Amino acid sequence: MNAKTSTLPSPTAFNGAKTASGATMPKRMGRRLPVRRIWPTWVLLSVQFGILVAFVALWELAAMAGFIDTFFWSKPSAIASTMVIFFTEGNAVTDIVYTFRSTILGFILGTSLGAVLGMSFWWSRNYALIMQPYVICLESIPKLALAPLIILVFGMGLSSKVAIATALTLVVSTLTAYSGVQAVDRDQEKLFYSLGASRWQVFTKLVAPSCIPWIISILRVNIGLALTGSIVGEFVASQYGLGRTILYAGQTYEIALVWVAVIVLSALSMIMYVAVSWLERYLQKGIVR
Amino acid sequence: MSAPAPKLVLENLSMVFHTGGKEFVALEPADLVVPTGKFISLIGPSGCGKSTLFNIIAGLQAPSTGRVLIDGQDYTGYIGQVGYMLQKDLLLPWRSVLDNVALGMEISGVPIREARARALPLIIKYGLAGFEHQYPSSLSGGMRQRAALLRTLLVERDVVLLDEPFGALDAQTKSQMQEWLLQIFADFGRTVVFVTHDVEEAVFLSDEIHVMASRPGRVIETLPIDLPRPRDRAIVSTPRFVAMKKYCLDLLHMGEQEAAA
Repeated sequence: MNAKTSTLPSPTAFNGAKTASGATMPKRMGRRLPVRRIWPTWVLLSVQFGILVAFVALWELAAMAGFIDTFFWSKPSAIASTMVIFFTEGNAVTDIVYTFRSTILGFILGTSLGAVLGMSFWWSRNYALIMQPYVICLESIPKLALAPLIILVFGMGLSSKVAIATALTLVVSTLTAYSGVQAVDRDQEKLFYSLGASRWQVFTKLVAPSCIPWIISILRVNIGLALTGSIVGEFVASQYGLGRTILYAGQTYEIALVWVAVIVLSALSMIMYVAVSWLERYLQKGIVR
Repeated sequence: MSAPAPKLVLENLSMVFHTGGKEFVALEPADLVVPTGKFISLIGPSGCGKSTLFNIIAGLQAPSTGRVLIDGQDYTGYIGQVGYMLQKDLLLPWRSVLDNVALGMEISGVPIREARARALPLIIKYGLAGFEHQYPSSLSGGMRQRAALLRTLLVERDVVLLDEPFGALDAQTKSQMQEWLLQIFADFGRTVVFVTHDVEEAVFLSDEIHVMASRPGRVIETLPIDLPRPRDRAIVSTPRFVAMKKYCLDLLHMGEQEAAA
């Protein structure tokens, strides 16, 4: 493809004209569907890997040459050695387990309580109408703003982080479950009642199973929120945890340790996200048709 | 010798809606007597009150006046007293076909194992063999309606209401389902009230047709169909059948013209 800009002849300019070999130029018929050809996997992987390597190499080189101030930005070699120290002599395992525990507990608690709460709105219309402004209020408040208050109430231990993580996931789960409840087919309800069902039977056999796909769809969001809640809780006040390490390292200008903690946190976050995605797929195969 | 007591009696049943100060008559006072074991049809245009009538019989709606009597007992407003099949099959997508067919029994309190055991032979006998552990998404329209009908029949109620069950099917499947329904009707011996738009379907299936009109919804005439049973597809071209069909169509047409006037 030549990079010069030039005015191309019109698509029909050569129709019927003769080429050098004496054959006639075919008539231009019109536009064809653009062809998408994906590169082979090895090419894609090499490029992805290459970008990563290039990034790290550039960083290291820039640090060595002095373009980047290592005091503020650190460099890959320092990060690597700090990482080793973190895992062999430091609190890596304690921190990871702490953050992981509070995240998972908050996730499970928030999702299940939220689901039950959201589904309970089906039971009584009056109760749903009464609760509506409170739920909207709770949804609008940035739950993270309540973190210092929660720490005050629950203390510095694990429970406060679990509480914050729960608070974040609870409201989202409630609203999602409530949407699921509102989406229940009225005709299905009619069918159940025509068979002589009690309200409890309709709830357990129709409403609850209908909401499950909705809950499943929000699991990936919830795990992210739970992790955020845990980390912010650790920022406010904590003895252990990756968030606390980030804060501490930041305050003591151990920038390499900050990066190490951030990288470990990202890895943990990705692992949990992938695990929840698998869970979601597994549940969907078993439940959603 | 006195005739046996009718299975279903609708006494002076009417439905009037009062919305925004105005009165809307969904159904004018109607009396209907359905003898035991008979197949009766209600035909009429949209808005003639057929669905309202069904909802009242099934206890899902309270009538403005009148009573619903089953075997002489007043069951107005009670749910679960009749089998009711709606136009949509409404199979639960997360349940297998077997569990769907067993749903009605499950709600009545039959233990799930027994419900499944009772449902399985019927599923096999009536053309759904091999699909009992599949999910509704793998069934065709006709098969879904069959499953829905089996679900309706397995709840042991003497009266069965079918609200345009074959309305959403293509012509070929529809006529197969009609023959299937006749076979089921012969096997199960329930009292069936059938609603349809299709006059030919009504004449083919029923012992008696009640023609309805709309604006206001009402029953205009009752027509006995004395064609012999068992019936097969060939009966559709006989002169008697054609005459009855024409009569019904004329009645419907007249009803429409009155409404338009």
